[in-house]
Amino acid sequence: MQKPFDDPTNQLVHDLLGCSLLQITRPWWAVKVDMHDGGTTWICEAHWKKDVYRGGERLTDWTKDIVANELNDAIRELWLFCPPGRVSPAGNTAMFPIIEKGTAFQLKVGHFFSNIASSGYKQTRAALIGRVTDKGSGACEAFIYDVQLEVLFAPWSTTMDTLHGIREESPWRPGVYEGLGTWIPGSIAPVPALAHDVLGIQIG
Amino acid sequence: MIDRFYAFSADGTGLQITTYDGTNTKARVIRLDFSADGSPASAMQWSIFTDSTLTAPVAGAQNPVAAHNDTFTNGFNPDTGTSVITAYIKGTCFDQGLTSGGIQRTPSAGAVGTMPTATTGVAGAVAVTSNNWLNSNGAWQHLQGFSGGYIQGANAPQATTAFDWYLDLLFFLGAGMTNGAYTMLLVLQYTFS
Repeated sequence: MQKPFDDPTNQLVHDLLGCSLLQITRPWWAVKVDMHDGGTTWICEAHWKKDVYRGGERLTDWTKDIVANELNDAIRELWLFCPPGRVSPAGNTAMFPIIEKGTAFQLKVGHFFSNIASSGYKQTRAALIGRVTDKGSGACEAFIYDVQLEVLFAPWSTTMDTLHGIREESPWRPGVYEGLGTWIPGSIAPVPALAHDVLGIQIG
Repeated sequence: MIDRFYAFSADGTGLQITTYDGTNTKARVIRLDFSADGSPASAMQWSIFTDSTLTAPVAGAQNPVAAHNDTFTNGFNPDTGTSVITAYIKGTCFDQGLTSGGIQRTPSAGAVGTMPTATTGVAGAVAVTSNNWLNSNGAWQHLQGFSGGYIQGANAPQATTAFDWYLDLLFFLGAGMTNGAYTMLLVLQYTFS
């Protein structure tokens, strides 16, 4: 029987992914949600589910399994497990505690490439977990794992220096209403306003 | 103006795309086909890059092919403009393909708005027009990566719905171009859950 890990994060990773971060090859999200009986449970993207709509099996999906089951309000922790890379050979984990209901979201950025005259190919460029920090403006913060660069950008937000009243501008303009901006200007197009119904953002 | 468009599957094995003639009279030249598997989380964006490194084009710079830039997307002053040095490639599209409410937008065959010039295009993003070609059938956009010039949808297409997004491209030639053989990629950026 596997002995418990001394580090709770390592234990969590092993419990949800069945392996260590060193053995994963792509990022995975996971959420800790409240249950009706007062306990908590985990939902992880890496878990397979039966697809009653199309038949067969599929990976856990944010829209189909979190949003469709109205679980956004029950999210207490939002995690991102990142594979090892050149600058983080042990992998990375990122986590947001979700204090306000309906503020957690997750999405991926993808690119489709085509030389126009023939079929193309697609790739996932980034995995992102975020939480809304100001419901009125839609301002948010996020962890972004860039799959191509193998780097976790952590965390990104527009900051306010309250002592001097200076706002530090950044190409990352966190806002679920007006758009998130970009973490690599010129190469990554600024992410436009998010579809709240698809992601389960409930702040309006 | 490049007035003919060929697709090659091998050296010496080419097929002319007869729906491209370098004018604005061919509406259904290119389209992107989307399956019903995805849940888009925001509007989609598309542009042209030299290759998959997504190195941002440098407006006005005529670089060798090896620099991850190309003569078409960089453009050149004054061929493609002065205050805004646009790309030699102009693009347009019909709405965003599928509305957030699930309506497929398909253009009629025939003319695609006004004919662009070599200097057509503005800096940054141009948003699509509802149920029409770009800028309400009035002007194309230049395609210069995701900062110089690109096209953006209005909002997220309806989730788990198959659709087509109709595009059109025009390639200009100019005296300032650097000679060479170039390949370019049409790049679509999308978000999904």
